[in-house]
Amino acid sequence: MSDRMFEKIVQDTKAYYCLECGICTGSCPVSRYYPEFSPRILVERALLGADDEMLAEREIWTCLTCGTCTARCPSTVDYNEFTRRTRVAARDGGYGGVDTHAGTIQALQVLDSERGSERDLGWITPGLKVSRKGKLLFYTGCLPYFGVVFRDLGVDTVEMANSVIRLMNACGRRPAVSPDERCCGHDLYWTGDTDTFRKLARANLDMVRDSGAETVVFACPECYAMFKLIYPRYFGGLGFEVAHVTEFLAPYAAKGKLAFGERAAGVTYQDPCRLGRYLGVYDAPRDLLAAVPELDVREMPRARGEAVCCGSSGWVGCTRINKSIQKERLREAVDTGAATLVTACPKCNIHLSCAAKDGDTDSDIAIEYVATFLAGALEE
Amino acid sequence: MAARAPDPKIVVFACSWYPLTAVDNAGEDGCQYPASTTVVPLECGGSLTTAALLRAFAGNADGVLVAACGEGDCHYANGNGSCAEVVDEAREIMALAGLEPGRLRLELSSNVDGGAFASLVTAFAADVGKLNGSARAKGRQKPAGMSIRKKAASRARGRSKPAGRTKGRVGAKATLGEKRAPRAKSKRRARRRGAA
Repeated sequence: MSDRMFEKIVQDTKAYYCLECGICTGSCPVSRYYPEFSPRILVERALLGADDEMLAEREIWTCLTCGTCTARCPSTVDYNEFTRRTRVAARDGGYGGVDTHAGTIQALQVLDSERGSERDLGWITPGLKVSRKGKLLFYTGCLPYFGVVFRDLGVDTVEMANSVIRLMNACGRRPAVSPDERCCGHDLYWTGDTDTFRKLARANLDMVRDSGAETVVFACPECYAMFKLIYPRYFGGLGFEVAHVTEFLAPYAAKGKLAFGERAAGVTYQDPCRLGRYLGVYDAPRDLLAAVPELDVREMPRARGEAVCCGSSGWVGCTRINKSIQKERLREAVDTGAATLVTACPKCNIHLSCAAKDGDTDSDIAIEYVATFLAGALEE
Repeated sequence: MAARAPDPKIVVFACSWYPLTAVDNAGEDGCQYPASTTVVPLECGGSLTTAALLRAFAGNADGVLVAACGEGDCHYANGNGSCAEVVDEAREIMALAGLEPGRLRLELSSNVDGGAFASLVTAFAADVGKLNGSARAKGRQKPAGMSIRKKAASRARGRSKPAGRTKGRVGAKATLGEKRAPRAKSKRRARRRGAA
């Protein structure tokens, strides 16, 4: 059974084109710290007819799905999809990764797929202008929930969501926030739970269509990537526009409708995998930062398509390897001389903040989500 | 006459020391409590996770009762304290998801009386029943999670797991049999304590 299953995975991801050049393993941030992990060897094993043994191995859960190897592969092998499909097969066979945070995040995402209740929107700061329905919808994703889970880390994801609303209000827009919203299913999709992902996606598409929204804006690049790249694969054309908050705000800043006060400080920018390599959005966040007067934006040596992943994804596995990747990235940010590391992804913010708290990193760099940073720089 | 609303489904996470002894005593003394109650034994209240609570609601639970030992009585230092923290976190997440925090109750008690346990569960089930009633009145089809029937259907559709690799699920018959001896011992000890 498994021979044919891997045959299908190999065909669908074009793994048979593999030239064994090893660029994937050479590019992999995991292989750097854990040489036993090799995308090339896993693909080779699948090509030679992998057995159930491969499904039981933890290597298939180690991949960050950051897309660096996929972007560099001269044979266009889709290694991310290869990993995902192998994980689906593994889960079907009764194997799984190690859920981080004691499985809380997977559990709340499953609860989001099953609940018959409406989300509570009491987290929205009083005074901010939102509506229940409208042409512009702000998709908050898991941000309100993460506010509870990551409070002890000092990462305020609720403030991130409120900052997005504050910036939209500053542009003269009143976004709709829906209580029928559910988790986008990103983490479950990439860790092999396709059934729950489908349920969540279906409910979200119904929610957007019922709201009458023409544009949906996302705070998190992962939700954005799911809507833009994955939902259409399963459910056909969306029928509405989607944009990351930075893409939505950049034209307002360019026209001078969004004005920031002076900020004489140095910042550097972390490209999230989903926003960068997956969706090719590199300029919008940089344009927004450039719109802040006096702000000194410095690039890390590995930026844009070459950016290094924040070290963890899908909430499976957080080990020495992940921590090493994160600390290396933090060191790179500190070396630019910037006082703040700005990221466009709440999850990058969570992971890098956690690594910065580890103690043995000699960094006192602040880590901020792009909307929180920009809302703080708004002209009074 | 209107159809009687089904009994709310209650899951009880019970620490294996005092609370589970109370559950045992309730059975031995023939104390009645709603048949729609499922008791999940925990080695210690401290082994409870937020994920377990949320997954109970994502499954078919209408209400979850967490029973851990009374303050100062934990057999492993502070299991009941961390249990209370987990319950708080789950309650906050439930509130954001629109589930009434009253569906989750924490009971820290070293009372091993079966009758007290039965009346506690009965009263909690009644409260949860009221929450179900008002949720249905607001048009919520699923008060908490999905119905048992749907769950069973999705299980039937599920794939078979390979032999020789089973996840450690609480409630398997073999596990209950193995656990019997130590629990009886702890009950005797607790009873003596109760009598003293």
